[in-house]
Amino acid sequence: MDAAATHPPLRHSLLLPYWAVLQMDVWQTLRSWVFRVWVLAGALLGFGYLLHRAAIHYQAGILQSSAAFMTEVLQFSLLIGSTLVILLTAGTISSERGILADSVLSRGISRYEYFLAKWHSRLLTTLASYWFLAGGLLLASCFLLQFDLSIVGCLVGFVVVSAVLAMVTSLGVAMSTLCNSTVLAVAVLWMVLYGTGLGLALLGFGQLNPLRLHRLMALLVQGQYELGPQLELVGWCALISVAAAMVGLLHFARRDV
Amino acid sequence: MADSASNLVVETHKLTKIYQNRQIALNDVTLSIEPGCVLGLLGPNGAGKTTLLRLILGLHRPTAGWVKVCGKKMGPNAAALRRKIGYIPTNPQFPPGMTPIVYLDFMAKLFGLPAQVRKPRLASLIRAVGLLEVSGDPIAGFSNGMTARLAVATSLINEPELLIWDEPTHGLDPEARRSMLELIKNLSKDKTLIVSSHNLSDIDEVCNHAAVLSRGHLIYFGSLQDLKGRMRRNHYELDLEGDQKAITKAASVIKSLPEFKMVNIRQRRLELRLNEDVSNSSVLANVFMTLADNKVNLVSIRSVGQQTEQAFLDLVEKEESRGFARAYAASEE
Repeated sequence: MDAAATHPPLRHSLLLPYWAVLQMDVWQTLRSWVFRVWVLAGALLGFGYLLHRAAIHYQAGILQSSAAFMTEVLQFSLLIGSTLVILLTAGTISSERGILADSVLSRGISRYEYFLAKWHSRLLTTLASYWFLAGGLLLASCFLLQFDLSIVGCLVGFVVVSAVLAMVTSLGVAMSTLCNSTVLAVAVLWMVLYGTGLGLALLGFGQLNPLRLHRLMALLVQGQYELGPQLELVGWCALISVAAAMVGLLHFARRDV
Repeated sequence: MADSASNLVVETHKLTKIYQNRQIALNDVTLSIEPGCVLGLLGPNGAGKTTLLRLILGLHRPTAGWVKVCGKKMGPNAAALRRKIGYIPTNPQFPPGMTPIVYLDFMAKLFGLPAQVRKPRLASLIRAVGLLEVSGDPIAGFSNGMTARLAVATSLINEPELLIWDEPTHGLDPEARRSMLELIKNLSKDKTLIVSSHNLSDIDEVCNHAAVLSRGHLIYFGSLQDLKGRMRRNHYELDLEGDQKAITKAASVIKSLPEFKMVNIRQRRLELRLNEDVSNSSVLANVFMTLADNKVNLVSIRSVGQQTEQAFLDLVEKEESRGFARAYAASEE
Protein backbone atom coordinates (compact mmCIF):
# COMPACT_ATOMS: atom_id res chain seq x y z
CA MET A 1 0.00 0.00 0.00
CA ASP A 2 1.47 3.34 -0.95
CA ALA A 3 1.75 6.38 1.29
CA ALA A 4 -0.98 8.30 -0.51
CA ALA A 5 -3.44 5.55 0.28
CA THR A 6 -2.64 5.53 4.00
CA HIS A 7 -2.62 9.33 4.39
CA PRO A 8 -5.52 10.94 2.57
CA PRO A 9 -4.93 14.61 1.73
CA LEU A 10 -5.74 16.90 4.63
CA ARG A 11 -8.83 19.06 4.15
CA HIS A 12 -8.26 22.54 5.52
CA SER A 13 -11.22 24.37 6.97
CA LEU A 14 -11.28 27.67 5.11
CA LEU A 15 -13.34 29.53 7.72
CA LEU A 16 -11.25 28.38 10.67
CA PRO A 17 -8.49 31.06 10.40
CA TYR A 18 -11.18 33.75 10.32
CA TRP A 19 -12.92 32.29 13.38
CA ALA A 20 -9.63 31.88 15.22
CA VAL A 21 -8.68 35.53 14.79
CA LEU A 22 -12.23 36.66 15.61
CA GLN A 23 -12.30 34.63 18.85
CA MET A 24 -8.80 35.71 19.82
CA ASP A 25 -9.49 39.37 19.17
CA VAL A 26 -12.73 39.28 21.18
CA TRP A 27 -10.83 37.61 24.03
CA GLN A 28 -7.99 40.13 23.85
CA THR A 29 -10.39 43.09 23.63
CA LEU A 30 -12.29 41.89 26.68
CA ARG A 31 -8.97 41.71 28.54
CA SER A 32 -7.77 45.15 27.42
CA TRP A 33 -7.80 47.99 29.94
CA VAL A 34 -9.34 50.45 27.45
CA PHE A 35 -12.37 48.20 27.05
CA ARG A 36 -12.68 47.52 30.78
CA VAL A 37 -12.43 51.22 31.58
CA TRP A 38 -15.03 51.96 28.90
CA VAL A 39 -17.52 49.43 30.27
CA LEU A 40 -16.82 50.22 33.92
CA ALA A 41 -17.01 53.99 33.41
CA GLY A 42 -20.19 53.60 31.34
CA ALA A 43 -21.81 51.40 33.99
CA LEU A 44 -20.75 53.62 36.89
CA LEU A 45 -21.86 56.84 35.19
CA GLY A 46 -25.11 55.39 33.83
CA PHE A 47 -26.27 53.57 36.94
CA GLY A 48 -24.92 56.30 39.22
CA TYR A 49 -26.95 58.91 37.39
CA LEU A 50 -29.99 56.63 37.42
CA LEU A 51 -29.71 56.17 41.19
CA HIS A 52 -29.34 59.93 41.61
CA ARG A 53 -32.56 60.46 39.65
CA ALA A 54 -34.30 57.67 41.53
CA ALA A 55 -33.29 59.28 44.82
CA ILE A 56 -34.85 62.60 43.73
CA HIS A 57 -37.92 60.70 42.56
CA TYR A 58 -38.46 58.80 45.79
CA GLN A 59 -36.87 61.01 48.45
CA ALA A 60 -37.75 64.51 47.23
CA GLY A 61 -40.96 63.41 45.56
CA ILE A 62 -40.11 65.23 42.34
CA LEU A 63 -41.24 63.05 39.45
CA GLN A 64 -38.38 61.85 37.27
CA SER A 65 -39.23 60.89 33.72
CA SER A 66 -37.70 57.70 32.34
CA ALA A 67 -38.04 59.21 28.84
CA ALA A 68 -35.88 62.21 29.82
CA PHE A 69 -33.37 59.87 31.42
CA MET A 70 -33.14 57.59 28.37
CA THR A 71 -32.86 60.63 26.07
CA GLU A 72 -29.78 61.72 27.99
CA VAL A 73 -28.40 58.18 27.92
CA LEU A 74 -28.73 58.03 24.13
CA GLN A 75 -27.29 61.52 23.66
CA PHE A 76 -24.28 60.74 25.84
CA SER A 77 -23.84 57.40 24.10
CA LEU A 78 -23.43 59.24 20.82
CA LEU A 79 -20.96 61.81 22.10
CA ILE A 80 -18.90 59.97 24.70
CA GLY A 81 -19.40 56.52 23.16
CA SER A 82 -17.94 57.63 19.83
CA THR A 83 -14.89 59.11 21.53
CA LEU A 84 -14.23 55.92 23.46
CA VAL A 85 -14.91 53.69 20.47
CA ILE A 86 -12.18 55.55 18.61
CA LEU A 87 -9.76 54.75 21.44
CA LEU A 88 -10.84 51.12 21.36
CA THR A 89 -10.54 50.61 17.62
CA ALA A 90 -7.78 52.90 16.36
CA GLY A 91 -5.10 50.44 17.46
CA THR A 92 -6.79 47.32 16.07
CA ILE A 93 -4.08 46.68 13.50
CA SER A 94 -1.50 49.45 13.93
CA SER A 95 -0.72 48.44 17.53
CA GLU A 96 0.04 44.87 16.49
CA ARG A 97 2.46 45.60 13.67
CA GLY A 98 5.61 43.52 14.06
CA ILE A 99 4.25 40.95 16.49
CA LEU A 100 1.24 40.57 14.25
CA ALA A 101 3.28 40.05 11.13
CA ASP A 102 5.52 37.47 12.67
CA SER A 103 3.08 35.39 14.64
CA VAL A 104 -0.18 35.51 12.72
CA LEU A 105 0.17 36.71 9.15
CA SER A 106 3.05 34.31 8.46
CA ARG A 107 0.57 31.44 8.91
CA GLY A 108 -2.17 30.16 6.61
CA ILE A 109 -4.37 33.25 6.74
CA SER A 110 -4.95 35.87 4.07
CA ARG A 111 -4.99 39.57 4.75
CA TYR A 112 -8.69 39.68 3.82
CA GLU A 113 -9.59 37.05 6.40
CA TYR A 114 -7.51 38.79 9.03
CA PHE A 115 -8.99 42.23 8.42
CA LEU A 116 -12.57 40.95 8.30
CA ALA A 117 -12.10 38.99 11.52
CA LYS A 118 -10.66 42.03 13.30
CA TRP A 119 -13.37 44.33 11.97
CA HIS A 120 -16.18 41.98 12.93
CA SER A 121 -14.67 41.34 16.34
CA ARG A 122 -14.51 45.06 17.15
CA LEU A 123 -18.07 45.58 15.87
CA LEU A 124 -19.23 42.69 18.02
CA THR A 125 -17.55 43.85 21.22
CA THR A 126 -18.52 47.50 20.76
CA LEU A 127 -22.16 46.86 19.94
CA ALA A 128 -22.64 44.00 22.40
CA SER A 129 -21.25 46.03 25.28
CA TYR A 130 -23.32 49.06 24.24
CA TRP A 131 -26.55 47.04 24.08
CA PHE A 132 -25.71 45.37 27.39
CA LEU A 133 -25.24 48.71 29.16
CA ALA A 134 -28.04 50.62 27.43
CA GLY A 135 -30.45 47.68 27.79
CA GLY A 136 -29.68 47.46 31.49
CA LEU A 137 -30.29 51.18 31.95
CA LEU A 138 -33.57 51.02 30.02
CA LEU A 139 -34.80 48.12 32.11
CA ALA A 140 -33.76 49.75 35.38
CA SER A 141 -35.23 53.13 34.44
CA CYS A 142 -38.60 51.52 33.68
CA PHE A 143 -38.77 50.23 37.26
CA LEU A 144 -37.07 53.07 39.14
CA LEU A 145 -38.43 56.17 37.38
CA GLN A 146 -41.83 57.30 36.14
CA PHE A 147 -42.61 55.15 33.12
CA ASP A 148 -43.39 57.52 30.25
CA LEU A 149 -41.26 56.24 27.37
CA SER A 150 -41.88 54.16 24.28
CA ILE A 151 -40.00 50.87 24.48
CA VAL A 152 -40.06 50.44 20.70
CA GLY A 153 -38.91 54.03 20.29
CA CYS A 154 -36.03 53.37 22.67
CA LEU A 155 -35.06 50.28 20.72
CA VAL A 156 -35.11 52.31 17.50
CA GLY A 157 -32.88 54.83 19.31
CA PHE A 158 -30.52 52.00 20.27
CA VAL A 159 -30.40 50.90 16.64
CA VAL A 160 -29.61 54.44 15.47
CA VAL A 161 -26.86 54.87 18.08
CA SER A 162 -25.53 51.39 17.23
CA ALA A 163 -25.38 52.36 13.56
CA VAL A 164 -23.36 55.47 14.42
CA LEU A 165 -21.05 53.49 16.74
CA ALA A 166 -20.64 50.81 14.05
CA MET A 167 -19.67 53.55 11.59
CA VAL A 168 -17.11 54.97 14.03
CA THR A 169 -15.80 51.45 14.72
CA SER A 170 -15.34 50.79 11.00
CA LEU A 171 -13.59 54.12 10.53
CA GLY A 172 -11.35 53.29 13.50
CA VAL A 173 -10.38 49.86 12.15
CA ALA A 174 -9.79 51.27 8.67
CA MET A 175 -7.67 54.10 10.07
CA SER A 176 -5.60 51.59 12.03
CA THR A 177 -4.46 50.05 8.74
CA LEU A 178 -3.62 53.44 7.24
CA CYS A 179 -1.62 54.82 10.17
CA ASN A 180 1.58 53.39 11.57
CA SER A 181 0.80 54.32 15.15
CA THR A 182 -2.28 54.17 17.36
CA VAL A 183 -1.79 57.73 18.64
CA LEU A 184 -1.74 59.09 15.10
CA ALA A 185 -4.85 57.07 14.18
CA VAL A 186 -6.72 58.38 17.25
CA ALA A 187 -5.69 61.98 16.52
CA VAL A 188 -6.66 61.78 12.85
CA LEU A 189 -10.02 60.14 13.65
CA TRP A 190 -10.92 62.65 16.33
CA MET A 191 -10.08 65.53 14.00
CA VAL A 192 -12.03 63.99 11.10
CA LEU A 193 -15.10 63.06 13.14
CA TYR A 194 -15.40 66.19 15.22
CA GLY A 195 -14.40 68.38 12.27
CA THR A 196 -17.06 66.79 10.07
CA GLY A 197 -19.61 66.92 12.90
CA LEU A 198 -18.92 70.60 13.52
CA GLY A 199 -19.11 71.35 9.83
CA LEU A 200 -22.43 69.55 9.45
CA ALA A 201 -23.81 71.30 12.55
CA LEU A 202 -22.76 74.74 11.30
CA LEU A 203 -24.13 74.12 7.84
CA GLY A 204 -27.26 72.62 9.35
CA PHE A 205 -27.84 69.80 6.96
CA GLY A 206 -27.27 66.09 6.63
CA GLN A 207 -28.61 62.97 8.23
CA LEU A 208 -25.54 62.76 10.45
CA ASN A 209 -25.72 66.34 11.71
CA PRO A 210 -24.90 65.95 15.45
CA LEU A 211 -27.45 68.59 16.50
CA ARG A 212 -30.15 66.81 14.52
CA LEU A 213 -29.18 63.49 16.07
CA HIS A 214 -29.24 65.10 19.50
CA ARG A 215 -32.82 66.34 19.01
CA LEU A 216 -33.85 63.09 17.35
CA MET A 217 -33.08 61.06 20.47
CA ALA A 218 -35.76 62.89 22.52
CA LEU A 219 -38.35 62.24 19.83
CA LEU A 220 -37.41 58.59 19.44
CA VAL A 221 -37.69 57.86 23.16
CA GLN A 222 -41.17 59.41 23.24
CA GLY A 223 -42.20 57.38 20.21
CA GLN A 224 -42.61 60.46 17.98
CA TYR A 225 -40.81 59.30 14.86
CA GLU A 226 -41.25 57.94 11.37
CA LEU A 227 -39.39 54.76 10.56
CA GLY A 228 -38.35 55.75 7.01
CA PRO A 229 -35.87 58.52 7.90
CA GLN A 230 -34.39 56.38 10.69
CA LEU A 231 -33.81 53.53 8.26
CA GLU A 232 -32.25 56.00 5.86
CA LEU A 233 -29.92 57.18 8.63
CA VAL A 234 -28.98 53.60 9.50
CA GLY A 235 -28.42 52.94 5.79
CA TRP A 236 -26.06 55.91 5.50
CA CYS A 237 -24.10 54.69 8.50
CA ALA A 238 -23.93 51.17 7.04
CA LEU A 239 -22.77 52.55 3.71
CA ILE A 240 -20.02 54.64 5.30
CA SER A 241 -19.01 51.62 7.43
CA VAL A 242 -18.70 49.35 4.42
CA ALA A 243 -16.88 52.01 2.39
CA ALA A 244 -14.40 52.64 5.23
CA ALA A 245 -13.87 48.90 5.69
CA MET A 246 -13.28 48.44 1.96
CA VAL A 247 -10.63 51.18 1.95
CA GLY A 248 -8.96 49.60 5.00
CA LEU A 249 -9.19 46.11 3.55
CA LEU A 250 -7.73 47.00 0.16
CA HIS A 251 -4.94 49.03 1.71
CA PHE A 252 -4.09 46.34 4.25
CA ALA A 253 -4.11 43.62 1.59
CA ARG A 254 -1.34 45.40 -0.28
CA ARG A 255 0.86 46.86 2.41
CA ASP A 256 3.97 45.51 4.12
CA VAL A 257 3.56 44.41 7.70
CA MET B 1 21.58 24.72 -8.70
CA ALA B 2 18.20 23.60 -9.99
CA ASP B 3 17.54 21.41 -13.00
CA SER B 4 13.80 21.68 -13.13
CA ALA B 5 11.89 24.85 -12.29
CA SER B 6 8.68 22.96 -11.45
CA ASN B 7 10.46 21.04 -8.70
CA LEU B 8 11.73 24.08 -6.83
CA VAL B 9 10.56 24.85 -3.32
CA VAL B 10 11.55 28.51 -3.49
CA GLU B 11 12.44 30.55 -6.52
CA THR B 12 13.15 34.26 -6.66
CA HIS B 13 13.76 36.32 -9.76
CA LYS B 14 15.39 39.76 -9.69
CA LEU B 15 13.85 40.28 -6.27
CA THR B 16 14.19 43.88 -5.16
CA LYS B 17 12.81 45.67 -2.13
CA ILE B 18 13.05 49.42 -1.65
CA TYR B 19 11.43 50.85 1.50
CA GLN B 20 9.54 54.09 0.86
CA ASN B 21 12.02 55.16 -1.81
CA ARG B 22 14.57 55.66 0.97
CA GLN B 23 16.34 52.39 1.62
CA ILE B 24 17.35 49.64 -0.78
CA ALA B 25 17.00 46.56 1.40
CA LEU B 26 17.34 43.95 -1.32
CA ASN B 27 18.74 44.29 -4.79
CA ASP B 28 18.20 41.95 -7.72
CA VAL B 29 18.26 38.65 -5.84
CA THR B 30 17.78 35.58 -8.00
CA LEU B 31 18.01 32.16 -6.41
CA SER B 32 16.33 28.78 -6.49
CA ILE B 33 16.05 26.24 -3.70
CA GLU B 34 15.49 22.57 -4.38
CA PRO B 35 13.69 20.12 -2.10
CA GLY B 36 15.93 18.76 0.66
CA CYS B 37 18.22 21.78 0.57
CA VAL B 38 19.32 23.24 3.91
CA LEU B 39 20.21 26.78 3.03
CA GLY B 40 22.21 28.93 5.40
CA LEU B 41 21.46 32.60 4.91
CA LEU B 42 24.52 34.64 5.83
CA GLY B 43 25.27 38.31 5.94
CA PRO B 44 26.19 41.13 8.28
CA ASN B 45 23.54 43.20 10.08
CA GLY B 46 21.37 45.10 7.62
CA ALA B 47 22.39 42.87 4.71
CA GLY B 48 18.76 42.09 3.89
CA LYS B 49 18.39 38.59 5.35
CA THR B 50 15.15 39.22 7.21
CA THR B 51 13.76 41.23 4.29
CA LEU B 52 14.41 38.26 2.00
CA LEU B 53 12.68 35.89 4.42
CA ARG B 54 9.69 38.24 4.78
CA LEU B 55 9.39 38.46 1.01
CA ILE B 56 9.44 34.67 0.75
CA LEU B 57 6.68 34.54 3.38
CA GLY B 58 4.59 37.19 1.61
CA LEU B 59 4.73 39.55 4.59
CA HIS B 60 6.33 42.15 2.34
CA ARG B 61 5.55 42.88 -1.28
CA PRO B 62 8.50 43.08 -3.66
CA THR B 63 9.21 46.44 -5.28
CA ALA B 64 10.36 44.49 -8.33
CA GLY B 65 10.82 40.85 -9.24
CA TRP B 66 8.93 37.93 -7.77
CA VAL B 67 9.02 35.04 -5.32
CA LYS B 68 7.54 31.63 -6.06
CA VAL B 69 6.97 28.97 -3.40
CA CYS B 70 6.31 25.46 -4.70
CA GLY B 71 5.88 26.90 -8.18
CA LYS B 72 3.26 29.50 -7.26
CA LYS B 73 3.69 33.22 -6.80
CA MET B 74 3.81 34.32 -3.16
CA GLY B 75 1.93 37.40 -1.99
CA PRO B 76 0.16 38.82 1.07
CA ASN B 77 -2.99 36.82 0.34
CA ALA B 78 -1.36 33.53 -0.66
CA ALA B 79 -2.64 31.74 2.47
CA ALA B 80 -2.58 28.33 0.76
CA LEU B 81 1.15 28.69 0.07
CA ARG B 82 1.89 29.74 3.64
CA ARG B 83 0.26 26.50 4.84
CA LYS B 84 3.34 24.80 3.42
CA ILE B 85 5.73 26.97 5.44
CA GLY B 86 6.78 26.85 9.06
CA TYR B 87 8.31 30.09 10.27
CA ILE B 88 10.27 31.11 13.35
CA PRO B 89 10.99 34.83 13.54
CA THR B 90 13.99 36.32 15.33
CA ASN B 91 13.02 36.74 19.00
CA PRO B 92 9.60 35.12 18.69
CA GLN B 93 6.98 36.84 20.83
CA PHE B 94 3.87 35.26 22.26
CA PRO B 95 0.71 36.66 23.82
CA PRO B 96 1.66 36.63 27.51
CA GLY B 97 -1.71 35.52 28.86
CA MET B 98 -1.81 32.31 26.82
CA THR B 99 -0.63 28.84 27.66
CA PRO B 100 1.29 26.70 25.13
CA ILE B 101 -1.81 24.57 24.51
CA VAL B 102 -4.01 27.60 23.77
CA TYR B 103 -1.34 29.22 21.63
CA LEU B 104 -0.61 26.13 19.55
CA ASP B 105 -4.33 25.51 19.12
CA PHE B 106 -4.72 29.08 17.87
CA MET B 107 -1.81 28.68 15.46
CA ALA B 108 -3.20 25.38 14.17
CA LYS B 109 -6.56 27.05 13.59
CA LEU B 110 -4.78 29.73 11.56
CA PHE B 111 -3.65 26.93 9.26
CA GLY B 112 -7.24 25.71 9.00
CA LEU B 113 -6.51 22.38 10.70
CA PRO B 114 -9.69 20.65 11.90
CA ALA B 115 -9.93 19.67 15.59
CA GLN B 116 -9.39 15.94 14.99
CA VAL B 117 -6.05 16.76 13.37
CA ARG B 118 -4.80 19.71 15.41
CA LYS B 119 -5.49 18.40 18.93
CA PRO B 120 -3.39 15.21 18.67
CA ARG B 121 -0.72 17.07 16.74
CA LEU B 122 -0.30 19.85 19.27
CA ALA B 123 -0.19 17.30 22.09
CA SER B 124 2.57 15.37 20.30
CA LEU B 125 4.54 18.52 19.62
CA ILE B 126 4.29 19.77 23.20
CA ARG B 127 5.60 16.40 24.33
CA ALA B 128 8.32 16.37 21.66
CA VAL B 129 9.71 19.79 22.59
CA GLY B 130 9.65 18.98 26.30
CA LEU B 131 6.99 21.45 27.42
CA LEU B 132 4.58 18.88 28.80
CA GLU B 133 5.03 19.93 32.44
CA VAL B 134 4.43 23.61 31.65
CA SER B 135 1.78 23.15 28.97
CA GLY B 136 -0.86 24.78 31.16
CA ASP B 137 1.32 27.63 32.44
CA PRO B 138 1.23 31.17 31.02
CA ILE B 139 3.92 31.77 28.40
CA ALA B 140 4.86 35.03 30.15
CA GLY B 141 6.97 33.13 32.70
CA PHE B 142 8.93 31.11 30.14
CA SER B 143 12.72 31.26 29.75
CA ASN B 144 14.42 31.92 26.38
CA GLY B 145 14.97 28.21 25.87
CA MET B 146 11.34 27.39 26.56
CA THR B 147 10.05 30.08 24.20
CA ALA B 148 12.47 28.82 21.54
CA ARG B 149 11.04 25.32 21.95
CA LEU B 150 7.51 26.66 21.73
CA ALA B 151 8.48 28.54 18.57
CA VAL B 152 9.82 25.28 17.11
CA ALA B 153 6.56 23.50 17.94
CA THR B 154 4.60 26.36 16.35
CA SER B 155 6.61 26.16 13.16
CA LEU B 156 5.96 22.43 12.89
CA ILE B 157 2.24 22.41 13.75
CA ASN B 158 1.21 22.44 10.07
CA GLU B 159 3.75 19.77 9.07
CA PRO B 160 5.33 22.15 6.55
CA GLU B 161 7.41 21.27 3.51
CA LEU B 162 9.54 24.35 3.97
CA LEU B 163 10.92 25.67 7.26
CA ILE B 164 12.13 29.24 7.52
CA TRP B 165 13.96 29.86 10.78
CA ASP B 166 15.35 33.32 11.37
CA GLU B 167 18.22 33.14 13.88
CA PRO B 168 16.93 30.02 15.65
CA THR B 169 19.87 29.82 18.06
CA HIS B 170 19.76 33.51 19.01
CA GLY B 171 19.86 33.99 22.79
CA LEU B 172 20.05 30.28 23.62
CA ASP B 173 22.41 28.73 26.16
CA PRO B 174 24.93 26.15 24.82
CA GLU B 175 22.72 23.18 25.73
CA ALA B 176 19.62 24.63 24.08
CA ARG B 177 21.67 25.67 21.07
CA ARG B 178 23.06 22.15 20.71
CA SER B 179 19.61 20.57 20.81
CA MET B 180 18.33 23.14 18.29
CA LEU B 181 21.14 22.22 15.88
CA GLU B 182 20.43 18.52 16.35
CA LEU B 183 16.77 19.20 15.61
CA ILE B 184 17.67 21.02 12.40
CA LYS B 185 19.83 18.07 11.37
CA ASN B 186 16.94 15.67 11.98
CA LEU B 187 14.40 17.83 10.19
CA SER B 188 16.68 18.28 7.20
CA LYS B 189 16.20 14.59 6.39
CA ASP B 190 12.73 15.21 4.99
CA LYS B 191 12.23 18.97 4.84
CA THR B 192 13.67 21.96 3.07
CA LEU B 193 15.11 24.54 5.44
CA ILE B 194 16.22 28.13 5.22
CA VAL B 195 18.21 29.07 8.31
CA SER B 196 19.38 32.60 8.84
CA SER B 197 22.12 33.03 11.41
CA HIS B 198 24.92 35.26 12.52
CA ASN B 199 26.65 32.26 13.98
CA LEU B 200 28.70 30.87 11.14
CA SER B 201 29.66 27.72 12.98
CA ASP B 202 25.94 26.86 13.22
CA ILE B 203 25.55 27.27 9.47
CA ASP B 204 28.70 25.26 8.92
CA GLU B 205 27.33 22.43 11.03
CA VAL B 206 23.80 22.06 9.70
CA CYS B 207 23.61 23.51 6.18
CA ASN B 208 24.54 22.07 2.82
CA HIS B 209 24.01 25.28 0.85
CA ALA B 210 24.71 28.92 1.57
CA ALA B 211 23.51 32.28 0.36
CA VAL B 212 25.55 35.31 1.32
CA LEU B 213 24.00 38.76 1.29
CA SER B 214 25.92 41.99 1.55
CA ARG B 215 24.09 45.34 1.57
CA GLY B 216 21.06 43.77 -0.07
CA HIS B 217 23.07 42.11 -2.82
CA LEU B 218 23.39 38.34 -3.21
CA ILE B 219 27.12 37.82 -3.46
CA TYR B 220 27.17 34.05 -3.20
CA PHE B 221 24.65 31.29 -3.71
CA GLY B 222 25.71 27.68 -3.97
CA SER B 223 26.92 24.74 -1.96
CA LEU B 224 28.65 25.29 1.35
CA GLN B 225 31.56 23.17 0.09
CA ASP B 226 32.10 25.53 -2.83
CA LEU B 227 32.00 28.48 -0.46
CA LYS B 228 34.66 26.90 1.70
CA GLY B 229 36.61 26.04 -1.46
CA ARG B 230 36.99 29.76 -2.12
CA MET B 231 38.87 30.37 1.05
CA ARG B 232 42.64 30.54 1.13
CA ARG B 233 43.83 27.22 2.61
CA ASN B 234 47.26 28.30 3.64
CA HIS B 235 47.35 28.34 7.41
CA TYR B 236 47.69 25.15 9.45
CA GLU B 237 48.47 24.06 12.97
CA LEU B 238 50.02 20.68 13.74
CA ASP B 239 50.14 19.10 17.19
CA LEU B 240 53.16 16.88 17.47
CA GLU B 241 54.47 14.12 19.73
CA GLY B 242 58.07 13.09 20.24
CA ASP B 243 61.41 14.33 21.47
CA GLN B 244 61.53 18.15 21.70
CA LYS B 245 64.96 18.23 20.03
CA ALA B 246 63.63 16.16 17.12
CA ILE B 247 60.63 18.48 16.79
CA THR B 248 62.89 21.55 16.74
CA LYS B 249 65.13 19.92 14.16
CA ALA B 250 62.18 19.00 11.93
CA ALA B 251 60.85 22.56 12.26
CA SER B 252 64.16 24.03 11.13
CA VAL B 253 64.18 21.73 8.08
CA ILE B 254 60.65 22.80 7.23
CA LYS B 255 61.61 26.45 7.72
CA SER B 256 64.27 26.11 5.04
CA LEU B 257 61.68 25.03 2.44
CA PRO B 258 60.77 27.89 0.07
CA GLU B 259 57.01 27.16 0.00
CA PHE B 260 56.43 28.58 3.47
CA LYS B 261 55.72 32.17 4.34
CA MET B 262 55.96 31.48 8.05
CA VAL B 263 56.96 28.54 10.26
CA ASN B 264 56.57 28.89 13.99
CA ILE B 265 57.22 26.31 16.72
CA ARG B 266 55.74 26.68 20.19
CA GLN B 267 56.51 23.69 22.42
CA ARG B 268 54.88 20.82 20.51
CA ARG B 269 52.68 22.88 18.25
CA LEU B 270 53.87 23.73 14.76
CA GLU B 271 52.24 26.63 12.95
CA LEU B 272 52.62 26.81 9.18
CA ARG B 273 51.60 29.50 6.74
CA LEU B 274 51.99 28.60 3.07
CA ASN B 275 52.69 30.90 0.16
CA GLU B 276 49.61 31.78 -1.90
CA ASP B 277 50.57 30.02 -5.12
CA VAL B 278 51.68 26.61 -3.85
CA SER B 279 49.75 23.34 -3.84
CA ASN B 280 48.96 22.66 -0.19
CA SER B 281 48.75 18.84 -0.57
CA SER B 282 52.28 18.45 -1.96
CA VAL B 283 53.73 20.89 0.56
CA LEU B 284 52.00 19.12 3.44
CA ALA B 285 53.27 15.78 2.09
CA ASN B 286 56.79 17.18 2.38
CA VAL B 287 56.09 18.28 5.94
CA PHE B 288 54.83 14.80 6.90
CA MET B 289 57.91 13.22 5.31
CA THR B 290 60.18 15.53 7.28
CA LEU B 291 58.35 14.72 10.51
CA ALA B 292 58.63 11.00 9.80
CA ASP B 293 62.34 11.30 9.00
CA ASN B 294 62.86 12.91 12.41
CA LYS B 295 60.69 10.32 14.20
CA VAL B 296 58.09 12.88 15.20
CA ASN B 297 54.47 11.69 15.45
CA LEU B 298 51.56 13.77 14.24
CA VAL B 299 48.76 14.02 16.81
CA SER B 300 46.44 16.36 14.90
CA ILE B 301 46.33 18.83 12.05
CA ARG B 302 43.81 21.59 11.51
CA SER B 303 43.19 24.47 9.20
CA VAL B 304 43.39 27.68 11.21
CA GLY B 305 40.38 29.99 11.23
CA GLN B 306 36.78 28.89 11.06
CA GLN B 307 36.42 27.86 7.43
CA THR B 308 32.97 29.19 6.64
CA GLU B 309 33.64 32.37 8.53
CA GLN B 310 36.86 32.90 6.63
CA ALA B 311 35.18 32.26 3.29
CA PHE B 312 32.30 34.54 4.24
CA LEU B 313 34.59 37.37 5.30
CA ASP B 314 36.62 36.97 2.10
CA LEU B 315 33.47 37.22 0.03
CA VAL B 316 32.16 40.31 1.79
CA GLU B 317 35.57 41.96 1.60
CA LYS B 318 35.86 41.18 -2.11
CA GLU B 319 32.32 42.43 -2.76
CA GLU B 320 32.96 45.72 -1.00
CA SER B 321 36.16 46.29 -2.94
CA ARG B 322 34.44 45.70 -6.29
CA GLY B 323 32.23 48.79 -6.16
CA PHE B 324 31.61 50.20 -9.62
CA ALA B 325 33.07 47.16 -11.35
CA ARG B 326 30.08 45.14 -10.17
CA ALA B 327 27.55 47.62 -11.47
CA TYR B 328 29.39 47.88 -14.77
CA ALA B 329 29.57 44.10 -15.13
CA ALA B 330 25.84 43.81 -14.36
CA SER B 331 24.92 46.36 -17.01
CA GLU B 332 27.02 44.55 -19.61
CA GLU B 333 25.28 41.20 -18.97
